[in-house]
Amino acid sequence: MLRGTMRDRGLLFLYSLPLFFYGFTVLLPILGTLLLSFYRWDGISNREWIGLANWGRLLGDEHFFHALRISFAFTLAAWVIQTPLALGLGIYFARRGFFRQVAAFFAFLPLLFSSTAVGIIWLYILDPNLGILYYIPPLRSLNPLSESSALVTLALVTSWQFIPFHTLLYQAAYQGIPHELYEAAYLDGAGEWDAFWHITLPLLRPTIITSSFIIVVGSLTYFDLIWVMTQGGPGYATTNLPVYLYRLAFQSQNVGYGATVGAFLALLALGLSWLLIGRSGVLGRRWS
Amino acid sequence: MKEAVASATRILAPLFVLGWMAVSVFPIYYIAVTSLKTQADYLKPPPWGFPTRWTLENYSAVLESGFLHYFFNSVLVATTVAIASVALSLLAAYGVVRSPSGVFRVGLYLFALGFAVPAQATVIALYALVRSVGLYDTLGAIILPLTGFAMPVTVIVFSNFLREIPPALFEAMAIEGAGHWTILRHLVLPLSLRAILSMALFNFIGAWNALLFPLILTESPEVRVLPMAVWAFTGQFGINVPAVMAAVTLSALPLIIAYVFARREILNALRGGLV
Repeated sequence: MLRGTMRDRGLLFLYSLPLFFYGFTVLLPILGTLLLSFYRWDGISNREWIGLANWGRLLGDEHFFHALRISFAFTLAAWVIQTPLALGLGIYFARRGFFRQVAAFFAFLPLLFSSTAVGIIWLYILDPNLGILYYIPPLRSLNPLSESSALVTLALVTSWQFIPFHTLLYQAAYQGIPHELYEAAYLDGAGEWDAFWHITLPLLRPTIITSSFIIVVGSLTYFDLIWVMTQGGPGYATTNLPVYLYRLAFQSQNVGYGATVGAFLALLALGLSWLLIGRSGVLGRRWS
Repeated sequence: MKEAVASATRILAPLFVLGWMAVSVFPIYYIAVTSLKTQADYLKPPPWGFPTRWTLENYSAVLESGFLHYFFNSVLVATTVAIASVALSLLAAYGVVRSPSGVFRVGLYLFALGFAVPAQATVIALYALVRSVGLYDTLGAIILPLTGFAMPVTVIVFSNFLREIPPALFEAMAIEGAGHWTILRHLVLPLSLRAILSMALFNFIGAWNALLFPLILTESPEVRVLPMAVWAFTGQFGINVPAVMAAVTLSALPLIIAYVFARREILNALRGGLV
């Protein structure tokens, strides 16, 4: 091991292969995004270097701040809906029992569908004319994709899609908690309620952080389902940052400015990772 | 009081889970049953009712609209991404674990960077890059970035895994004169087979379901993959909703079959090594 790690040519060669591939397919686009943010470009004619003009425009762009608010509102809604449900279901499915096993089998099914499929399925289920809402009296007159309710609808459908994934994380984490801890607590006269607050929750903390990290970064940058269901509309009602940059670059040929929104999104995700990853048990161990 | 909450939870939990099960399954029941209806039946309320005449005509309509071609495109893309990402990531993880210094340490930080930066943020530069190297509108244009963006998490999972192998095993082989390839083939590969399969499956599913990269990097029907095809069907079939539902069902069928027969493996893979 110790004989000249730097001079180990064979190892360096093995390592350079994936690194080169990764450099071209991932690092280059990341750098390119940052670089393009300093240009004016319509995607066809020559690029024009304009320094920080795009970044200045960002600060005065009300659509950008709107998209930022949408991204955060969507993320908050997704977190609030998904975390308690996934936590409860995960603990429930972690224990043995025939009903629990059967229920788990069906509850994980949504994981098998692509965001595209999920979006299309729910579009038809929620269709105001031919969908099912008509048969649920309190929801009869609701248009789930109207300007005022579209974002909530998207958060609910996203949660339907991803709660099973987070349930899986909590299920595995709960199964890892030693039984003896609970037995000891019950011997000391603690009830189930105390055991939940003083044993289960503290021990699931790393998983709660991991799961929250995935929800936050995933929702801030979610594109597929939103694109399929609303394309960012009606108007700008569901245009989050990724949809906004797509609209800028691929629909109104503001490629340079779209890249600026992309660079901002990358920096935002980096900052959030910096904040959250260090505290997360599972992810934290990876860099220790 | 506390015990009242606890016992109420105990009684209500199964009821709640039953309700949740219904919410999980209903949409899947809905697409399956709708895909077997005629258009006339689809318009008859209630939407969840059984068809008056069961029919497979929607499936044949979808198959006649080039579905198999799109299906094989998806198989090709997802398989290549799964194999390439796992092979490249295993090499990278081996480098990181066997020599955690200098270049290798910088490399790990670069992979961490790719883990934190979402692919969605970089699509514009990616589009420009793919155009400039002449790959636009090819399956390669989808395969290369999907493989690259699958690497960070795969490298991290593999590095964690390889760190668990006792260093003495590596050293023993090295002392006997084994090169890196031999160590990879006869020590690393057999020991990490489960992790490899799991991550290959995880990346396969990710590629199978990806929409954004195909959306911006391809346009012709020849290179259409399933998510794009299903989405295109919604426009093409228009009001023929049963046909759209048949397309959705067919696109999800391989994973559902795999889930029914290999539930444990699929769920392990879906966790993506996060546990």
